[in-house]
Amino acid sequence: MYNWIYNKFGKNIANIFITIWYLAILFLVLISLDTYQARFKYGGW
Amino acid sequence: MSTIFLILGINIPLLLIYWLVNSQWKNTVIVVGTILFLVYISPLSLIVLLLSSTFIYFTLAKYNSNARTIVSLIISIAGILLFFKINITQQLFFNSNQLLPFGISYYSFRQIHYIFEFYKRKLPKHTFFDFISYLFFLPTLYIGPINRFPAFLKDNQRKRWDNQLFSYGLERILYGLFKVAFLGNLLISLKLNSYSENYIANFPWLYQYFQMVIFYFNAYFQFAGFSDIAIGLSATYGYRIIENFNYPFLAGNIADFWKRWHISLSEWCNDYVFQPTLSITRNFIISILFSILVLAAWHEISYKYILWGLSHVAALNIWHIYSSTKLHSRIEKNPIIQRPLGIFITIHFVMISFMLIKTDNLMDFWDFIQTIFLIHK
Repeated sequence: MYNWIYNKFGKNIANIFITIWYLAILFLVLISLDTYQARFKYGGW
Repeated sequence: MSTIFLILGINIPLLLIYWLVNSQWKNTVIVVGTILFLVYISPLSLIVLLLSSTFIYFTLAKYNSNARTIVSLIISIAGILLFFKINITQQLFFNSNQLLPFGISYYSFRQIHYIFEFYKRKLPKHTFFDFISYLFFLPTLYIGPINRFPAFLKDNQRKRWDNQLFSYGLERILYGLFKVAFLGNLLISLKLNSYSENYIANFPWLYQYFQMVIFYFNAYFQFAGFSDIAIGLSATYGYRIIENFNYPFLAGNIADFWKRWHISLSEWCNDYVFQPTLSITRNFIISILFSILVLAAWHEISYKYILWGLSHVAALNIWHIYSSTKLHSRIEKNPIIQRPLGIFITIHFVMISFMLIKTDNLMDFWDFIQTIFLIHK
């Protein structure tokens, strides 16, 4: 996806896209962690 | 505080120091970081890991690759793992809530891998500290993958800053957190679970089906997510670690599933259980039975996991026989039918076998089977 945008629209647009993409994922992680049940529970096997 | 944030938290200052010091000190930084982490989270694990690793290295250095030494070393490492895995010993010696020493399942298998490779004389030249750095590598200590020593040593000798690898690592950590928190915990365990409750009264089979899907995909996202975090963290230190999952839900048959699910463990079982057993017994069924039983016991020593393992042994053998029939070669000529059918059967078999683990006892499992296949009770 990133490469496709990079080739089609150039470096700047691709960088903006990837920044928004990462921020969106981070946002989803953070709103998930806001719910108590969605926190990490792994104990180490 | 949750362990994962503790690990991420420790890694931020550790990474900074790691990339600032000279390359001869880099390993020391990780080893010290891991020791501090273990002192805080599981001192028992630190003692077990330190003593067993020192014992292995110096025994091998003294007696070299003498077959008797190798067998006794493997038995002692497997014995230590078994000792902590069997619940009865835990209840006898520790308080019943005591968890396993942190990460013991992973480092024991790494140690056995090291012993085997030492015996085969396939290990590159290395020092005691290289071996310690391999076992005390914080990113893969807690959830694998069960990475191999030669590959670790190769990255260990390079240790050069690589922009691309570092940003790839950060990306993998983010994707890992996303899989665990958003996909696994929020969407599957929470949202899909509460949605499925609408069907309890009118469509119990659909509810049970949802429960099965939830258990399987939650297990996948949790495990794959934590593996992503481990691989990502390793990449930020400049280490390329083997992948652990390769879209297991797209597996076209059960043998393919084991090449896509927990790859590092199934490869370990293939190299150190299946192949040696096959070369001794020359029998596919016995070898696959033995390796799947080791694989099941690695997870937990309980009849549920043994049954789960046996169901996979049966499936693998059925697949092995079926794949050499004319029917299979005829169906294989039609990939449009074969591929989706293969995926459908494999994923459903795997999900049902996972319910053996999820349900509390065999009666509950039988209840589940009756409900989902609409068998009149």
